[in-house]
Amino acid sequence: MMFGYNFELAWRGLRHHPRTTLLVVLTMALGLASAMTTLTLLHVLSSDPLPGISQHLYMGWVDSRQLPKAGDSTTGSASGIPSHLKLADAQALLTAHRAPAQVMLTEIIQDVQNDSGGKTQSAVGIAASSGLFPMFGIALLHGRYWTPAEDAAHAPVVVISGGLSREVFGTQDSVGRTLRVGGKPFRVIGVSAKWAPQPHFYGLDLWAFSSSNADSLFLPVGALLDSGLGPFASGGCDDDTPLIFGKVNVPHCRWLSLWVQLNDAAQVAGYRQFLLDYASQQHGAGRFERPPHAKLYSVPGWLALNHVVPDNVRLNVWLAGGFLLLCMVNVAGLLAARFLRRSVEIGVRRALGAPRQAIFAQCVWEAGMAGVLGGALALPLTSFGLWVVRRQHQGYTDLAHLDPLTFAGLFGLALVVGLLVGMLPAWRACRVEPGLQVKSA
Amino acid sequence: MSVRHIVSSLRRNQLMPLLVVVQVAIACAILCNAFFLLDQRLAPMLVPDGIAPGQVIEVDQIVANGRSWSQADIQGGRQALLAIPGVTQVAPAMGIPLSSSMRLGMGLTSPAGVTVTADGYLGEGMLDALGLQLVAGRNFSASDYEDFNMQNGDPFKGKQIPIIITRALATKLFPDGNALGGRLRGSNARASGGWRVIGIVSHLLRYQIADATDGRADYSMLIPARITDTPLISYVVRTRASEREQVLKAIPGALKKQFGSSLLSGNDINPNTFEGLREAVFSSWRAAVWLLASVCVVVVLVTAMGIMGLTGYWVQQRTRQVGIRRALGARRVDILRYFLLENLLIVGIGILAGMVLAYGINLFLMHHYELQRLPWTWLPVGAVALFVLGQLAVLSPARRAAAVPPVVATRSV
Repeated sequence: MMFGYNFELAWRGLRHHPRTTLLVVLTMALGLASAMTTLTLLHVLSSDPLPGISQHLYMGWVDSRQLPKAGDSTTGSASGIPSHLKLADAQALLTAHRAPAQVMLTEIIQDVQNDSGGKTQSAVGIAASSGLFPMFGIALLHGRYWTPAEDAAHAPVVVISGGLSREVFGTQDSVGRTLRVGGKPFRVIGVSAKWAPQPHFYGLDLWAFSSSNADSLFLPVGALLDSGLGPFASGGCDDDTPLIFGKVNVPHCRWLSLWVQLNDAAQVAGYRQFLLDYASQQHGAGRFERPPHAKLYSVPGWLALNHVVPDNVRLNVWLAGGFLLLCMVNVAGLLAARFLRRSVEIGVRRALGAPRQAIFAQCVWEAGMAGVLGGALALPLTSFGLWVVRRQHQGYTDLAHLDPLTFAGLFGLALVVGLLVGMLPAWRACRVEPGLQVKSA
Repeated sequence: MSVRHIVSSLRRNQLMPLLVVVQVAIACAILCNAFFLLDQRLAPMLVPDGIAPGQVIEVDQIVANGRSWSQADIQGGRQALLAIPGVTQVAPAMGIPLSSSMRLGMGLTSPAGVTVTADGYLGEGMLDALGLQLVAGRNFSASDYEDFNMQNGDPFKGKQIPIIITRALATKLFPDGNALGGRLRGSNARASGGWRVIGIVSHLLRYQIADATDGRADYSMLIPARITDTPLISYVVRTRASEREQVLKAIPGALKKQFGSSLLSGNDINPNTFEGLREAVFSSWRAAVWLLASVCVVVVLVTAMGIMGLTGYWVQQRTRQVGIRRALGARRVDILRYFLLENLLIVGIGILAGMVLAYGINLFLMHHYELQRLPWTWLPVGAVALFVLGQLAVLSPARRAAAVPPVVATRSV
């Protein structure tokens, strides 16, 4: 009964002064829409790249760099945080099998072509050891992935995505066909489903967010080296080795990353110790020039370290938050003026026996309803805001869409904001002295 | 009417003025920071880049497959590009404006003790290929060029290298005006012999548009170098304006024919017009500018409406007092002045709080994000904007109150 009564009172109140109601709802909608637009973008960008998998993934690194030379210049590789390993170290760590699952990988870009001399096109992908598919959750549509035995034998086999298969072979199931990668023949043994983690956490050098790029070519590291295709070196080489693309000096350059699966804190601590022990041992043997140094990065830690969410996205959230606050103060003022204008009406209600709580409830109800109306209006405004964001075309901005979760978030926020904003004016209104108001009326 | 009366009246009814103060403070803090961010975005978009309009094409990052480009390779590519009809100049380069994958930051120290980090453009014939305007001194001559081996720790082998700098750098490094012939020490191991200024150009944009803030857009220099033994090379191509589109289409074919299988598999040759690159960079910047500008406009609108709504009510509440004062002989202009002065006072308090808040927010943002310190010059800009806004917002309610005849005022309410 109280619910219906309060609802009706609030509705009547809102209709009473349509001009200020419109102002209140509009201000509320603007504040909410700007906050929701920036929060949606932040939410999309901070999402989990591989839900259910990435919380167990860690990247291991041991410091195999040479001692810094005097007068080292500031030119060269811009990416700051070292994360790559030499082949020998990656293989040693891999074959130790100290984690439940482990894989070494490197990003590749190659020209691909079908076996009947079709059009050449460029494809991005991963050269890895055989553990890649189950560990990273890459599903297969057809065929199989390669085995540890094929890894060891450097078998020239390849798994491609369904999309690439259609582009190159004109059919999704190309198992058994031959794909020319950089001119060298590779046998297609599997076709993978669409797989494009956002952010692209294992290959941030290429892109962090993209709605158009995806890894679509997967082949064994050994086969890649045997074919003379070579990866892009990105982790630097020992300094007497020149930096050359397409032909990494295998023993002297760092170009592989090691990802391991660790299921609990004990395993994480154990693996960290294992890496450090390995570095100490190599340092002792004289292979590592620098003092033993090892790192184990979790996926969120690695993303944070690389500033994957651009600073200005967070900056805009602060800006929009400030704006929402301004709108809230503004609405609070408008509502206070509105309620106090009705002092006479409130006085009559109080004189007729309404307790303070009833007045308070009436005002908060009205404010909450204005909030919800503002939220409803904010929905199209937020869509418009996200459309503006997508117009920036910065890779990550293309992913900004309104999903049901943010939609629900928007209404929650609108209601909370409406109620909060109504508190102060409602408190002021319920302190109206009944006698004074009725007398002056 | 003295300020003391206004203050004592304000102290009796605190809620409404308090709400206005809070609103103004928040608006002031947001506006100061938004103006500042807007300026950071807008300023680089307005600076002259010094590059010949409508004529320049950049070919970035041609990557060698399994070896380094030799000097012969690089000159071969240059000849292949020169052979395309419509091409007038070609400069092999390391570092080209707006698209470079490799950046060379050069620390320069002048005899006057000024130290600046400038972007270095290495290459052969860059001044002509970019169409830069020489305002003093001379262009590089053939004897100025040195072999520059990328794999070498000190490619210039301790020699002093002649350079061409921009006018902005010349004024900054040589405050007494004798930049030509001036010597500069380098803080870079690759340039142990230091530099000698032989020419000055009007403008030359830095590598990245994001660095072009705070008057540093032109902190760049040309270094004469015959590049060799490099894994990747870029070219700046100058064309006749009318033939640029045809040249753009012809470049990938010409270079693929020249380099053949020496090109890295999967690496496409992707030439761009300078204007195209500029447009690509600016399209996202423009969106940010629109975003910040609309934030400013909406903040101003919302604040104006808020002040108007609140003072409107509050002035109306005091119609009776206005009537009494009018009956006691106050003129309309006195009433008007009273409300304007009152607004000035309230908004002033809000602005003071807002400036402290703006500064605090800026400190917070500086601490957490790569942002420069808010220059204090933005504070008065925000303050003046809000003072004007406050006065405009109160004008109409105050005029309405002043227009009330004394009789009506005392009778009603």
